[in-house]
Amino acid sequence: MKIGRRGFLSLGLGASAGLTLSPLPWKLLDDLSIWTQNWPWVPIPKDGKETYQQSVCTLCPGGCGITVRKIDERVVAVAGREDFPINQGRLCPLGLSGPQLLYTPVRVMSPMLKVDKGYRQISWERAMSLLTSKLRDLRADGQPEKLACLADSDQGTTPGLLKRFLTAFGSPNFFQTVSADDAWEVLTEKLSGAQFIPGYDLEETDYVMSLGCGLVEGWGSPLRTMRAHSLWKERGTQLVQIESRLSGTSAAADRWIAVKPGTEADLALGICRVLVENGIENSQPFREILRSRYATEQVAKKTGVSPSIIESLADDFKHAKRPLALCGGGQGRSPVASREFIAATVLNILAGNIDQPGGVYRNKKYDYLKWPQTELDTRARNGLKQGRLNASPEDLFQTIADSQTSPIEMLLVSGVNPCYSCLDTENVIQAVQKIPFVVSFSSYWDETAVNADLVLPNHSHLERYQDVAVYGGLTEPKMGLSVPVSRQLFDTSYTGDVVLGAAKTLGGTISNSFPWKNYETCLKSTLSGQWQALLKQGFISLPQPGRTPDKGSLRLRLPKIDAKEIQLEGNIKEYPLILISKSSMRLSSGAAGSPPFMIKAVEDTVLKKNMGLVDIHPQTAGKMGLGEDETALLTTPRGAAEVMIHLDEGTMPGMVVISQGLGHTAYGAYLADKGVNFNQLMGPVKDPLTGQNTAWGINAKLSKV
Amino acid sequence: MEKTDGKSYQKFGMVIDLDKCTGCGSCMVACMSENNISFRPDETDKLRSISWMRVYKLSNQKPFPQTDLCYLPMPCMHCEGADSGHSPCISVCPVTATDYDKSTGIVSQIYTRCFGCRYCMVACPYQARYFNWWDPVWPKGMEKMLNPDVSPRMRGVVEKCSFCYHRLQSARDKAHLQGRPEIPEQSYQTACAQACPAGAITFGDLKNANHSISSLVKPDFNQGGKSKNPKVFRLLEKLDTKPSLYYSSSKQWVRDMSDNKLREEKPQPTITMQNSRERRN
Amino acid sequence: MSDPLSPINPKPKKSRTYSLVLIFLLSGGFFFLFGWVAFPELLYHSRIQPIDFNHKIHAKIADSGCESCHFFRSDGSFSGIPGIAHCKTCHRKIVKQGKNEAVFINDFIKKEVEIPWHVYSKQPDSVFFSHVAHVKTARLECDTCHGDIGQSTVPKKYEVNILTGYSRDIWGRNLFKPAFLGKEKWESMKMDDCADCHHEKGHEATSAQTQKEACFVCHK
Repeated sequence: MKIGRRGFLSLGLGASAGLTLSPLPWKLLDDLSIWTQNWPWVPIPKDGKETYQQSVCTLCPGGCGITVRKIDERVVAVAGREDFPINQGRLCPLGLSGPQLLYTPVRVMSPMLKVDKGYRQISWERAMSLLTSKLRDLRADGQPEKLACLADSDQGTTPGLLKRFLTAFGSPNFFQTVSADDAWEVLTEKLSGAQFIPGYDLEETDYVMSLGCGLVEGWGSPLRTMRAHSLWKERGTQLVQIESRLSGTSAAADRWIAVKPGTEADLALGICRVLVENGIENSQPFREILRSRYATEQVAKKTGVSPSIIESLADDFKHAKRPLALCGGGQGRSPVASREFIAATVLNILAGNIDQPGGVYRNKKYDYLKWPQTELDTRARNGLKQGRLNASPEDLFQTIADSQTSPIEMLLVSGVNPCYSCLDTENVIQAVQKIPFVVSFSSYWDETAVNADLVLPNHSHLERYQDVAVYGGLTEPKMGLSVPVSRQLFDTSYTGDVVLGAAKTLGGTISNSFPWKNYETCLKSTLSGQWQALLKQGFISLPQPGRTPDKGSLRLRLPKIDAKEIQLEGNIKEYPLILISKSSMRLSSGAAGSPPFMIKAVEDTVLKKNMGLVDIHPQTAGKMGLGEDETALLTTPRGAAEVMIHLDEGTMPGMVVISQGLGHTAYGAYLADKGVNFNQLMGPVKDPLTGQNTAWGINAKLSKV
Repeated sequence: MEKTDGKSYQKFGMVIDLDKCTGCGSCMVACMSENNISFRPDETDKLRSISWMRVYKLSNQKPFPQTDLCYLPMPCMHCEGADSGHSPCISVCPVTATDYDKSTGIVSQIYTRCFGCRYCMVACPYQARYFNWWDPVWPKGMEKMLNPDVSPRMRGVVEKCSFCYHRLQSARDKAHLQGRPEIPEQSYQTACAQACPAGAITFGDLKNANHSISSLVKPDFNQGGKSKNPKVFRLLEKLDTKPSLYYSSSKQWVRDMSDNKLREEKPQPTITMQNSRERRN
Repeated sequence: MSDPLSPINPKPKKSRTYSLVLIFLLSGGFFFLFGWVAFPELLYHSRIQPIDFNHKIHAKIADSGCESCHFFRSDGSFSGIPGIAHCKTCHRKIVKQGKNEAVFINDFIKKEVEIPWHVYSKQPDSVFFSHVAHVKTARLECDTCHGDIGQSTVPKKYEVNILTGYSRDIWGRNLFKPAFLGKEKWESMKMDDCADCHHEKGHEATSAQTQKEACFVCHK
């Protein structure tokens, strides 16, 4: 049958009518729309049984309790633990990003050995045999002191095992990043004859004078401090922030006193002078020193604060019921300059708040390890006799950088990332590269791991038991126990087990010094009396023997009161600006690199694409012909970097402010090559009294690019 | 839950104490973690970056050292709009992808219905809505941490804060099982309110006298929910969007910034909002 | 001379119309049948369940009926299809002789592999369904929505829509057959089916726009 045009049309119409009366077009349309919404690359998270497991976060010294939400066996979220005293159910951005640190592809997934082009995966057997053969060789050469270790602290079982290993091995070269707590011990010993770590009763004070402390930027134990700040707002506790820039704390304060940078201690001592003159008792020599060096006019000139304000601050301090002075700029993690400590402590002594509610408690470091004496053989004794090479990690790296051949043959790095967080970073990286054999225990491919010869990854923070001592200004120091909430995802191993394994293989006195089968056994036996309490509530309070509340008197060796101020590096003619850093809860400056969630929270006035921005007063920028978002070269005596300008009225003219926590070169695409590493532009400056690094800034210059 | 005849209608809202807020960003990160928010290597373009809760920074723009700043966390305002449900975004959505629930006061967003015209983003005066310009890509392994209670979005749809509605669904499940009709205040809390280290965010039922938010806010429902507490305000009150999100500040300049002023009302302070979804000078 | 433009042997109008109508009817009929018969065959593919699970036998042993294996957890969530951990409570070793059980033990229990069941009632990720609200509060029986699966000796036939990936039970049986003509609730479970039942039960119209319930009641 011949079908013409009309026939064809009729066929088509019939088809349409027939199809329309069938489900086909309607079903197909709906099904197609569903099909377009089911792309296989958009994941559908699988549902399952929801459970909660409690632990303690170990990502910063704050020691918060956490509740981990799991679906079947997957970790899905981390939140604060409700019944934990430090944070009471709340948590900071880093803690909340915990699952990202567990599942990130930037994890070191097995022992890795450096080869010609990159790293090769090896087995634990091979890794351990390599490690122990190198250790054996070192000992055989009679140079056990050439083994060094850099750890995050000297507290806790893992650093304890490392330190013990070095001792049994015969090396005195155990280093730790000097924390504020270590600094306190040195300072208090020097100035008062007795070591203590201050615990601040933030909850009971009614007047806080803060010498540049970043109280809401993560000071001390960050969550605890922020909660105390909220309490202050509820109760009307007065906060006076003495700081050169408008930080979050300055804005939150009832009074922000904008002092010239580095003169916080001067202002505090000026206030002391007024207090002493106005009748608050104390010794004659003390009064003389204050009168001669800290007269109101002198202080006004030095700090840029008017005499009437100084007088009014002294007046407020005097009339407060329980005033408290705090020192420790930024997050308070690094050593405090002796001047600031003296100034704050004198204020506290005058306030009569030592060991009193609302005041400063003298806490002591509590050594709960209580292990038997390390066994030493002749080699070990000889090695230990050499004495530690340097006082601090910074000095050690400087020594290595300055030497032709590195005095250290082998370096173990645990819980720290010196190739990022040590000052004068370029220099440190070169020093690390000079060391013949570097072993990193990092769980992530951080800057130190990518410079290491052997990476023996520790379990990540949600996969392991870890004891963590929390001092950080707490009234009552605590020790928390982190427990594994996730199964071990990769071929990782406790750093403690590496130490125990190496010790066993080396044999002799070294092996004898480690009577534990494995790390978990060591931990459980060390904490045996407290184990059940730790599992149940997550923490115990560390005993503070000999603390009597009514003791309350503290005497300082006062002649040191005129301890010289910290001189910033760089001559002012060449470097006319002062560069300081600002810390933020949205960026981690510690060993854990900021996970993607935190980077997402960073403002576009801190980071724009890959460029870090610096805060600068519009006047200062104007003088140099620099405008908003323009690129400039920031140079200091230690380094230079390209930055973008952000005009900020809250920054004092003549200063440049840069964010901490950026400028990583490792950790993958979500963190690497963003912004500038402040540490790279800085160098250490020794405190005249303690010898510790207390550099708070550096002189700098900005030039058009 | 079934027949409610309007009497047991709830109105969930939030009040953020800006005096306590430290700008730490925990609320942002808690929200990201809870709601499967996607992230890309470069998140600095804030016009493209998705962040249901976003902390802005206000400045009083006075010269140093009279400068002052205030952090302002902004999630979705869950506007009731004039006439109970005429929120700006709901009024313009062509496909009813967004809707107002009269029994909870929450503005919902259904991703499978949205086709990405972004009209709602234009309409929202608070810029609280975000568009998925790209499909989300989770680094290998990180898809394991996705919350099964929240649906991950594909490209081409708009998303926004939901007041963690899935938590209300879970709380209701428990209430059904236990045969209890009422859900206690602590059983339904948003992720941001739960995480805030400063305790600045309070979430609850504005109509329930037992919830702490009602005593903090003291909303006058005859005046569209305006707060009787002089320190408490909502943003852009004049627009009559009737937001469920309140702020509290003891700083007069912050309260002054909450709305635009006519010339005869008060001198117009120049403001800068950082974290720029909006820059006004 | 004849007109060159006049048609040669023009068909009479009437028969042309008839043939056109015939073509119309034939093509209509063909495509009508195609839509109703061939299209479902093309769209739906059968899948075989990994195990020939016999509900009837297990229902006899179960103490609490359906809830022995499909129960509510303490937080109100629904356990769904049990994982092998649950099956292991009885089936650690062979309980009854049978080819099916042997497959089950060897391929799944021994290897610790979850059984990849094809789920008849799987809904899209955007759906939030609260079992406890329907079973405990609304007191619906399981077979109201799932059919009499509890008495089956072999699994129901599973057919998957190859475009959407969902089971035919969601939307694909007895299409367009209205309820009053005997369509069962378990033959269709799309949004409108849920909404119809909610409407029947007199749920308050809490949506400001749609005169139905608010979206977040069933969506996430």
